[in-house]
Amino acid sequence: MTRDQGSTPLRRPNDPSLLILTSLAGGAKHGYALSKDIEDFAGVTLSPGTLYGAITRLEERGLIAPEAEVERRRPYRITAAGSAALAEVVADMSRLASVGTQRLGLAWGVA
Amino acid sequence: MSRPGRDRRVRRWYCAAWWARYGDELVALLDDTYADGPLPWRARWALAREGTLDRMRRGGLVGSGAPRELRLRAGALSVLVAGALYVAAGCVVAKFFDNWEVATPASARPLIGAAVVGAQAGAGLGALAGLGAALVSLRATVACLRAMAPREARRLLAPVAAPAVVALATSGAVVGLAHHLSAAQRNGADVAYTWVFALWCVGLAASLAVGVVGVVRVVLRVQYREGELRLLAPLCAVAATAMVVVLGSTVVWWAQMARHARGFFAPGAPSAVLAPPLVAATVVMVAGAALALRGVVRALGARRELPCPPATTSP
Repeated sequence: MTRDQGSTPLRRPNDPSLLILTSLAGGAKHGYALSKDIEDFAGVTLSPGTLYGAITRLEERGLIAPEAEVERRRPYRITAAGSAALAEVVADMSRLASVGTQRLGLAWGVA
Repeated sequence: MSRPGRDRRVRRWYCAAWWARYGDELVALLDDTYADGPLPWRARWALAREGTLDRMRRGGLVGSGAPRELRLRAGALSVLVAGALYVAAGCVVAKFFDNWEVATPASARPLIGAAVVGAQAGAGLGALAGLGAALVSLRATVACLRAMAPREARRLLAPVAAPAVVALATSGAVVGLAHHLSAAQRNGADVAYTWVFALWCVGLAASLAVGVVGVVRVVLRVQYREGELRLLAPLCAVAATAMVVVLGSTVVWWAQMARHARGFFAPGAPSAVLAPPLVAATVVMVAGAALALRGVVRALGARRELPCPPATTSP
């Protein structure tokens, strides 16, 4: 699990920072596109305040970086540090999911 | 709500530095998401929460992103604000402590008396810690004021000095007036005095609030040396300990009085041990103690990160 200078780590699947990093792993996006993408893949609606609170913290931690502004809308991209942090969390979650699946006797792809 | 009106309302939650960096983007996102429609309450709440949290982070009150000096100072200021809450609540509790002996049986007095002494000792210890913090801050404050233009220095000091003068003058007048009244007149028989006393309490609370804001402004301007910051953190711990002692003593006193002298809180109504002013004062003290302990944890945590002082070598 990633811990960065004591700030809130990425720990829950619905953590706004984790959702943003996951969305940006698919390519740079501005605020509205991020919000819609997260709604599509996670079913979570992040309000503008929550989204920009998380963007501020992620940028300060160097996990995402801004790109050139286009008509007041600034896209963000995931950085190498952000990719590493996301990979670490995803690996943790995969291990957890794998153990849970095994112990419950579930097969992948079966609800 | 018009878009400019909406944007103005959103902007007030954020500090200027944040708004300069992200303001346009946030407004564009609000436009894209809500167009000309009203902001849902959930969105308003999130904006207020995130803006306030960002201000607190930048001020060193939460998170670990702010420089350690700022975090230590923020911790010390949390203890200062908690101390002000204790002064206000302490005035109410002190009024209840009056004449407790006459209402209690002799067998119960040792414990209740010890609780009163404990509260007084705690208050004294807290006052000493506050005095120590003021002395530690003296050099930095004088240096800061000397570096300012006289007019700017006066503007910075006025919110500290004026409430102190007003509080002292009005307190002197009320004490002088009370001296000429009987105990019964002081405790509700004299309606005019009751009003004067109530107004004095409100004025004292307002003076305390203005004075604390003034001190916070001064402390945020001064430049401490590392040695001074090192001293501030343990003084905060002493002050917070004193607050916990006062709170604990008050609870013991209250519980014992409720057990042995139920009629003390409201003559004629023995079941009324939950006197509203005492309940309010205790709630304020609990909140103050929590704030102070949080401030101490922050101040001591930041102190640990300060560079070690150079070791002295013997010749």
